[in-house]
Amino acid sequence: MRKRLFLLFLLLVPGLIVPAGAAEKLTAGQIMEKVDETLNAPQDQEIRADLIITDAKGNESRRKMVIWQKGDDRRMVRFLEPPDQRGIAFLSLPGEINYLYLPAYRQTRRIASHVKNQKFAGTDFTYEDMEVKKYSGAWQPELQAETDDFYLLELYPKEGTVTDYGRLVVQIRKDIFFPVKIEFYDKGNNPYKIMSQEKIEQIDGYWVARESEMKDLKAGTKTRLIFTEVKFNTGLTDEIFTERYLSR
Amino acid sequence: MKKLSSLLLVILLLPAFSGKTAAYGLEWRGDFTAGHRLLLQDGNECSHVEYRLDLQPEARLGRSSFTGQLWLSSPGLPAGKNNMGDSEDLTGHNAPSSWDLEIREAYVDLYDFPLNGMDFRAGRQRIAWGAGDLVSPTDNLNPQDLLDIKDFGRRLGSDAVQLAWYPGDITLTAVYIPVFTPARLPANWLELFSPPAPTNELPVPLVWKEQTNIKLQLPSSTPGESSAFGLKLSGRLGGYDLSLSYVDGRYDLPLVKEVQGEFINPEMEGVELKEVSLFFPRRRVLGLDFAGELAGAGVWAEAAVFFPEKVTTVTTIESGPIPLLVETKLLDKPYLKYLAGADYTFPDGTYVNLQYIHGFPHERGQEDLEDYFLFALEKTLRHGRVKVVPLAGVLNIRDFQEIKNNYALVLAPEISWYPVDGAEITLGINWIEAAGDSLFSSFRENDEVYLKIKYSF
Repeated sequence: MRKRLFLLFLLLVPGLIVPAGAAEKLTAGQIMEKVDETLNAPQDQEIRADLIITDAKGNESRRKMVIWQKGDDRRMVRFLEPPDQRGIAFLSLPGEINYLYLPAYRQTRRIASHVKNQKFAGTDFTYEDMEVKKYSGAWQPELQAETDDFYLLELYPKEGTVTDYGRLVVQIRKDIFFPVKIEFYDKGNNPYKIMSQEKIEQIDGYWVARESEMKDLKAGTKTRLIFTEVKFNTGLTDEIFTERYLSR
Repeated sequence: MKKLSSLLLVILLLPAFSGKTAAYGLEWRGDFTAGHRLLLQDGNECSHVEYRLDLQPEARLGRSSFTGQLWLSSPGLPAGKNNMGDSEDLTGHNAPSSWDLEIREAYVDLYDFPLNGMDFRAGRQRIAWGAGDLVSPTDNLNPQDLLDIKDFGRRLGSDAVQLAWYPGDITLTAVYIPVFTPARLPANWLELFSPPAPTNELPVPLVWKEQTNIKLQLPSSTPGESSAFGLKLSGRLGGYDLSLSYVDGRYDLPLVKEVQGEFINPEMEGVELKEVSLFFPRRRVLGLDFAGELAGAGVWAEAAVFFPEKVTTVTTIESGPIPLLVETKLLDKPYLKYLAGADYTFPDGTYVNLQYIHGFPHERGQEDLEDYFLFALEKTLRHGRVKVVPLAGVLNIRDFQEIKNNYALVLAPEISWYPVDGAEITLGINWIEAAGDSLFSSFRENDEVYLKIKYSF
């Protein structure tokens, strides 16, 4: 509660935020921690989203899903449409423990980390992208550049981090510590994907990108993620982030 | 006529349900599948035709829900193979192409009932236990659905009640099935799953004849005779998901209880079976399964100890004034089935799945268990629009001492194309190379090419 009040205070007095970055020189690690704080500030989140997948020829297909997140280490994603994917649910828990529920088989399957590089339900987001993000815990940042408005960080996986990416280049808005663009490189250091975050706005005091787009540079495809409904701090129970709830 | 009435009932009710969808939170989804198989031998005869409408209603009301699955399907055989031989077969509502309506699942979930932290489920349901792919030695509550033997791994729903309790990080599940349901078998089941007969004690072979009278003894419908129950404790230990299960029920495939026969000739070179009584012995199964990750790969394993009811078959052979009586123990000792599997996805998206199985679901008794290696190699292309399975199948080895005369290799490569969302077109082959007697050897002359079209809505 004290943390929320403090964040609210910061947001109500914008003058305190922007100079904070300018007045004291932040290290790359401190910037990354602030990004994590921004992204995972709400106690819980419930987001309904539309996904528009565009293939290399420009053909579009659509998905609908709901995302629940609690804190910075638990997330559940459930597909609502199309019909052949409705009910497919993905649960991400601390300690790299992930489950997938496939309604057609009435069975919950544990997913090993080798699946992380696979596209999630045909989108350009992989299972790894769908996991809860806590960059500072998994990535070693290096400050590459700084402008009046942005930090440019380069992230390398820390030892023990299971990832399909060799490095990330993240452009971060200095005023709100929000990543607006992430370039993903594969382990051969080839450009792999680019995610851009748009329509960044405050909802209930928390910063959110209403729309984002993930482009697969190799496949020539892209997936647009549009948040149609966002709710924060609704008191999501721990029960939602269990295998029990996964199959409901 | 009854089937037709059911079909009409569904057709009439569908619009009525859809009209009330919003009011009652009832949602329908489903798919339609059309599948054809052609033999690669015998002049490319059509071996299987199936049209199936799969409807799945789902309703949610607060802390409860209803889930169902209805199949409206053709019987799977082309008209020429559908035992049609009489002109009367061409008349009537179900001729020449019949349809069956089947309730695969229909159950109600009550969440946090009867107490907080408990979920109650009642109705026809699939209770999928175990960690294995397609086959699970610990998956013993639902009877097998072997009607289409090449769609392996299918199970029938069981009319059951299930209570799951979630005290903390573990789950305790109890299942009770009040009435026994046997497996559903294909028309040629006697050739495929010829029930273990008392040949061990007899120096001559038993010969099944078309006129052999087969009597099926189903258990009486009393709770003591007909019911089954299961208990499962599951949780997580050291990063691995673990389950310990116990099932007390009956085998879903029959065993021979009594045999009556006579020698086929004065030289007593064999016994022709006149009457065979089949029954479904009880068995208890203690199972353990785990799933997790090892060096980035998904791994899983299962083991199940079967404690069968002791089965002694009495064979009566007419031989003059005094019949010859032979008693044979078919099942009398516990036996162990197990499997171990792993899967991995390479960075380029190639997926590999390997599984070793000791004992398929239809095998019973230590001597009857065989070894199987299941394998699959998959790759998805064109942004998920094409899936290629260049290598998939089963290698069955009956006798490691003499493999070349005791094996079966099934290869089932296929390619699937998803031209638009919800649509899937699959072309594949079932190719079998086998030597000796095994389940798959029965199909060695039935190599097939198949085309399947599925649309989900």
